[in-house]
Amino acid sequence: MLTATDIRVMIGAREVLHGISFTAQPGSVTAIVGPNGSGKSTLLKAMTGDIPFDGTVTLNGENTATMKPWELAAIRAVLPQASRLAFPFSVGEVVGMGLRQGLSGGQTDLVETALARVGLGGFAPRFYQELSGGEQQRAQLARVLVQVWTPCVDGTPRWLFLDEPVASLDIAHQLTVMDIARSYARQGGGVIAVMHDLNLTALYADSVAVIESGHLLAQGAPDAVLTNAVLSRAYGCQLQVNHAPPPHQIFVLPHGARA
Amino acid sequence: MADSAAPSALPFARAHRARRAHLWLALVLVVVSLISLTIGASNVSFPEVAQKLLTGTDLTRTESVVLFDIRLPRLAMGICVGAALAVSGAVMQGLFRNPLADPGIVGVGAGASLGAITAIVLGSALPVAIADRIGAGLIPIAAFLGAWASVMLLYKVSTRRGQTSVATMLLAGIALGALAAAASGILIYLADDQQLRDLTFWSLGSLSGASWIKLAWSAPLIVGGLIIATYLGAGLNGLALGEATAAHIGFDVQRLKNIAILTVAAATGAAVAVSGGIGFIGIVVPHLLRLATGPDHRMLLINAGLLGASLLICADIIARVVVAPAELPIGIVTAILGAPVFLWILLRSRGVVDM
Ligand SMILES: Nc1ncnc2c1ncn2[C@@H]1O[C@H](COP(=O)(O)OP(=O)(O)OP(=O)(O)O)[C@@H](O)[C@H]1O
Ligand SMILES: [Mg+2]
Repeated sequence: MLTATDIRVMIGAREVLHGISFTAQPGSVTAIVGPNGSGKSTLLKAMTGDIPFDGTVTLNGENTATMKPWELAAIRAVLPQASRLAFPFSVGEVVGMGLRQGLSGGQTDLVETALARVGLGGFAPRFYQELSGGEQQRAQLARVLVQVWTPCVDGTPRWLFLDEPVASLDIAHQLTVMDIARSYARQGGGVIAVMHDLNLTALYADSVAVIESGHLLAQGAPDAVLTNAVLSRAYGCQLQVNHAPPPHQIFVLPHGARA
Repeated sequence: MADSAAPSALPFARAHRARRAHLWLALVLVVVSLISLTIGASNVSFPEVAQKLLTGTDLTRTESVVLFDIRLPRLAMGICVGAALAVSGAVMQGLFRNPLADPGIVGVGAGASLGAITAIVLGSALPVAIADRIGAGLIPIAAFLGAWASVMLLYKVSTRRGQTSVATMLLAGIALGALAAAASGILIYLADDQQLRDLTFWSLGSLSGASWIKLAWSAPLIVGGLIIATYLGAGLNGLALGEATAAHIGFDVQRLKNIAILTVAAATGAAVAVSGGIGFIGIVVPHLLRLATGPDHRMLLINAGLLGASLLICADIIARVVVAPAELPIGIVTAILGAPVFLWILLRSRGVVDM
């Protein structure tokens, strides 16, 4: 389990997160949603130790502040919202960096498998910097996947922290990536994903946390959290939560925006 | 951002080539070294000497002095300095995630120069007892201290709560470099004619002052730094993905940065101290290797050491033959050869600068 307790983050003189407590269970996909600038990435960065924060984060029961980078790397991988690569590495080399020793022997297979998984089969010899934006993002996801390939090792769940994994992907690849996230969770791993697409969130998330202005507005099952009241308040616009016919898939539409 | 420098070099073939390059470059270094031993102002022939050595014949006094006290220490120093400059450049570029970073940029070179200039200009003011004891070591020691001081200062300025900001560090490096240059300027203003000549020769860079004593003092620092640097390869690869991601894939980024900085300070400080301002090796060598064999630092660092050593020896050979029996300061040769190559690289692959 991942627990974040009373997370406060100061950026400059400004408090960006005002004491957020958040949990995520292995075996499920936990989505973090909220408007731009609400603090989703900041929360993720605090939980992955990228920025200084007050509060505690535990992963599988252990305080992450006391863990070494390589211990953490063995149980969790992180996909940042944006990544830039210095130097002209190949896609295969970039993905191979997820393997801690780098590309070697039999593990090269894993790189190929992961690339195929994200729809980039055969891309390994290409230059990473020559890929399109969406392809780069999927290559980064492949790098994240090879790092913690097996979702659960000897009963210890491993974790994926994904900041907007489907931003800039076409609809088919959005589904590919969310399917990967879901199957990772179904095999016992934990997935935490910052999301903007509420419909995709409703479709794939087992738990949803709504962040607004540095506060946690609500966390729980999609049915309980994705409601007119919560969403309209979080995003500051009228949103209508609808239910499709069985199996009652939730979908969200703007309300009266064009009236 | 995209670097389309070498679309012809397929990355996998490239990695293979990088590994083979170790051998080729080592071979080149051996050949260049042998040539360097045969060339010089005096007409001592290396093949003749080698034959004498093999057959056990005694060398003449001139032969042994030229070979063992002049050419050999000069060669060894050239190898050390060339490798130190090239590897320091490669480490710095990996650390700053910028192919244009160079120890010169973060003020290490300027700090070392300030130290050396201080020694040249104010050295005569030292009590004779001390000056006699330090002797020829004064300039190297001062240059080395200058390099260290500038790195320490830079580190203090740019590190907060254990986090080094690369951007702050680059800017602070420029500021500290300017300060060191200004202080040097004051000293140069105070210098007399003889001191000015010494200064000019030192600042242009030269291997002509090579001696076993200087070498004994600088080689351990350089070699130690280089050995440590070769272990930084995987970490520097990780840093190419950004500091945060490097940490996420398991590297202790702060420790990595500390070691990289200290390594560069030791190698560059020692190199600048013994050989003055030799430019362009640190920036051109890693560039060429990245184009030819790819950016993987695990191989790049070793190749850079080998190629940097070879190139500096070549430059030294040129410096010794073009105006023989006099010689050019080697810094002029590396600049004349290096600057156009550098410009050519920039024109060929604008992408690397746009990151
Ligand atoms: N480096 C920074 N310096 C100053 N303010 C920052 C910095 N990073 C984030 N912030 C501020 O913190 C707040 C939260 O930012 P954060 O990146 O967490 O938003 P987000 O919810 O991820 O938004 P988005 O949906 O646009 O990705 C914003 O108001 C932002 O301006
Ligand atoms: Mg964000």
